[in-house]
Amino acid sequence: MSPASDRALAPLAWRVRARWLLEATRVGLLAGIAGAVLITLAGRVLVRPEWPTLAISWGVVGLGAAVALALPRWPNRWAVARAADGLGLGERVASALHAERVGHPAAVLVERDAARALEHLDPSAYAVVAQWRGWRLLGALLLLLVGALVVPVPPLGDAAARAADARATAAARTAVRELSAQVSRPPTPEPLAQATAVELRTLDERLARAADAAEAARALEDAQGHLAQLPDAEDYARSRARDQVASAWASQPGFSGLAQALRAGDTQAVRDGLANLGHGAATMTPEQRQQAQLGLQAGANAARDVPSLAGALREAATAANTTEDGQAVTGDALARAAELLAQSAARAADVQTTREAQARLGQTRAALGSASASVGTTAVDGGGTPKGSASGGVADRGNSPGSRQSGAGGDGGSGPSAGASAAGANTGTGSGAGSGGVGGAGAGHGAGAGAGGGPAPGQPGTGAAGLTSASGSGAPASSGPTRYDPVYAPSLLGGEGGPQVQAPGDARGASGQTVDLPNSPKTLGATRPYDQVYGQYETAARESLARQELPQNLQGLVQRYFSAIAPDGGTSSGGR
Amino acid sequence: MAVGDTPAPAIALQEQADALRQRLTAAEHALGEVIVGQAGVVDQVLTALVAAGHVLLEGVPGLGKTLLVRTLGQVTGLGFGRVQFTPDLMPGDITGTEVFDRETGALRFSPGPVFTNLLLADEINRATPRTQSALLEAMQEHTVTAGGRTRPLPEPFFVLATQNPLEMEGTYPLPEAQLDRFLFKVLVPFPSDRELAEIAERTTGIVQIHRRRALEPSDVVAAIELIRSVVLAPHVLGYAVRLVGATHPHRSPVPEVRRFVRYGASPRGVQALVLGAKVRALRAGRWNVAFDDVERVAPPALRHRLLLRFEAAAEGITADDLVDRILRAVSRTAEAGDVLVR
Repeated sequence: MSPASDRALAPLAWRVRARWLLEATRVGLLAGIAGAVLITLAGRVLVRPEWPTLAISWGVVGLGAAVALALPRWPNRWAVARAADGLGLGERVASALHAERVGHPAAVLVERDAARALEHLDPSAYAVVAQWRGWRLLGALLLLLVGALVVPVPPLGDAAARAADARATAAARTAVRELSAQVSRPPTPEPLAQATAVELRTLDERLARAADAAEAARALEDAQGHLAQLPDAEDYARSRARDQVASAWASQPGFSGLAQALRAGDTQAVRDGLANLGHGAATMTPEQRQQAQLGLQAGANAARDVPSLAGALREAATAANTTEDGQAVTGDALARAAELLAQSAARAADVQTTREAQARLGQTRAALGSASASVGTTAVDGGGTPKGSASGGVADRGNSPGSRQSGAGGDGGSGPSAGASAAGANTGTGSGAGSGGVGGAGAGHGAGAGAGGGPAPGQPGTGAAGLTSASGSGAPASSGPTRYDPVYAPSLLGGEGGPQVQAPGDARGASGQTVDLPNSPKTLGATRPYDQVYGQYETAARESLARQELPQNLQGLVQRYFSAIAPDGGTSSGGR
Repeated sequence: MAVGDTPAPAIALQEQADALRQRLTAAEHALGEVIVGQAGVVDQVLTALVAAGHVLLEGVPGLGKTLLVRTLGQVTGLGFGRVQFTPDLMPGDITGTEVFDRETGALRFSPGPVFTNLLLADEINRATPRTQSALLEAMQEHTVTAGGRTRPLPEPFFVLATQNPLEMEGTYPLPEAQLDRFLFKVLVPFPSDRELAEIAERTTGIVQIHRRRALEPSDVVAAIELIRSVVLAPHVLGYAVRLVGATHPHRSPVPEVRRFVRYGASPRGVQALVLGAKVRALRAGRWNVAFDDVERVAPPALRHRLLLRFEAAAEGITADDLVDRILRAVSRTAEAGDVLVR
């Protein structure tokens, strides 16, 4: 065609290509929005979290695919010629193009006809929007999409519940991972700490495989039970020894610093303190030496749960009162005692960590139960007491022995507040939480067993339990529903207040004290929570030991006996 | 493009086309002076003539079909021959026979009335199929085979046949093979009241109508050659092809075609569409065929090529109805999404 004809066609060409682009866009938007509507509705009905991403992706892909598929039909010169003919030119332009291409004898004549016709061409007569009906359909689809987004859609079946389960399980797993990270910092070679970390990692894997929140709750419950079984009797013994030695030294002149170091778990400070004591033995006055001996002896008495530690402290006490030549002996004995004390402190810290992990799992289980619809009462029971509100659990325990505090619900409060509230709720006999959170982590059971108003860190023992019977870390934590064992109630019991034990005079010749055991059963065959019974009897025995002079091996026998029958010693932990 | 830029061959073509257009217009007027009304019929007959095609005229008696053909011969200067088809007509009566020449003592071929330029086959459906088929070779090949010899017919050769749609007794419908050889089937409508009045005035008065010659036989031959120079773009040809394809029930997008048509148009249907459209384009002053040209010649080109089922007759569906539906159903654009606006 002639250049003049091409120039005449140029404005029309722009419009033809604009229509092509608009049409491809319209088709793409139709496909994209239609698919997005379906995906949105399906995603909201089935409660699938990924539906926004899918819907947007479909829209983009639909638009792109439509444009890509339209590319082969890009309006070329021929298409523009036909568009011009469509405006009433009687196929002159396209025929001219064809005649020119094939070399037709009449090509010139046809081209001349086309050129004349193009002089009167009005490009604006070519509508860029071919059909508005198609765009109205697009508008309707857009409205449908808006409706699909804002109109409330009831979830199909249990989809909402499953979605809630999935979210709750994911949150539980996040909490377990955070706990696992905390427990693993810093890495420690201690078996208990490593076992705790392994248990948490195993729990994380089980949570990842959990099909629903109920399965996740079972995994948490199992992990709580396993954690409760991890500390053995020796762990508890060393933990108690740490606490008792710290309590004994707190009131001994010259040993308060060591007591603080023990409570803080600063094993290096303990070693340094005892080493300094040994170094200074040669320059002590006889009075100072006697003070040191008494302090060490008090520590030895307090550490009777760990015979090796008690023996080392006793040996150091004996050596401290020897002549100046015994300085080396004193130093060696103190070094052995320091090492054993450090081990006890480390064990106590590990036990603390395990109990705290157990308490945290209980909280996680409680949160899982409240966030999920499928876990139900199990998690509610496992949720138990919220953190710090030991009064709730303790009060329940005090007022209704049969009340359940299943699971590791709540850590029974952190130390002081829990201890105090427990003491207040239980007639002041201090059957509340023990030291710090240990008792609390025991869901109140073990802590409750630690009768005697277990001294929380920084607090002296309260209540009638006295100084050395602080057994805040009495029974280990329990998990799951409380297990009841029938306990024989001695016929001596009767009336209010339970049995009375007449204690002999103490070492300084004071009159004996009458100790009331709280919450004693009033009738034969009545049932009480085992860990309550154990704790109270064990405390009573300890108090007796403190007042009665028994040979050391018998003292050890009594200690070992009560350790053996401790709630976690050989009995089922799952049903506690 | 200015005239000065046009090559000489193109100029010659243009001059030829202009001259032809004028002569055809003059012939149309000349026919119109004799034939009252029937403008469409005259137009279609002239179109078929220039397209070198045969025409079947169908109409009730007395509409001037025979007069039209006879006048056409006078106006175009073409040799005219007439055959009145009767049931006792023999093939030899049309093509010619060999007769014994007493003078030479040998057989001599005596040519029949078919040896002419313009043959009027009047009431062709009255002859037997055997006799009707005698025209098959002549219409297609422009030859006659008789006595073992094939003899060419004069060029140009046209058969303009007439038939009466009313009478069924004593008539023999044309076979499909013969119908297919007619380029157009032209329906001659009953004249209007005004036209009737004029017919009465002309035929019963004293005024004599003189048939003047407007075309020469050479003009007709030249026109037949010239129309082949009209450009047919591929998309227009495709449209014609789709129209013919739509007449076949197994591939038609028209439900009525699938229901009422037994067999559709042959490839001659496409030829008829194209040739007729080219003549229309040239007569309209264009050198290219437009969609409108094809659509205007579609009814006369296709109506006699649709073999209808009995159901069509029972329901009063005619071939024209089906052609009209086909024209409305078949798109001018071949592919979906084409930018061309109808």
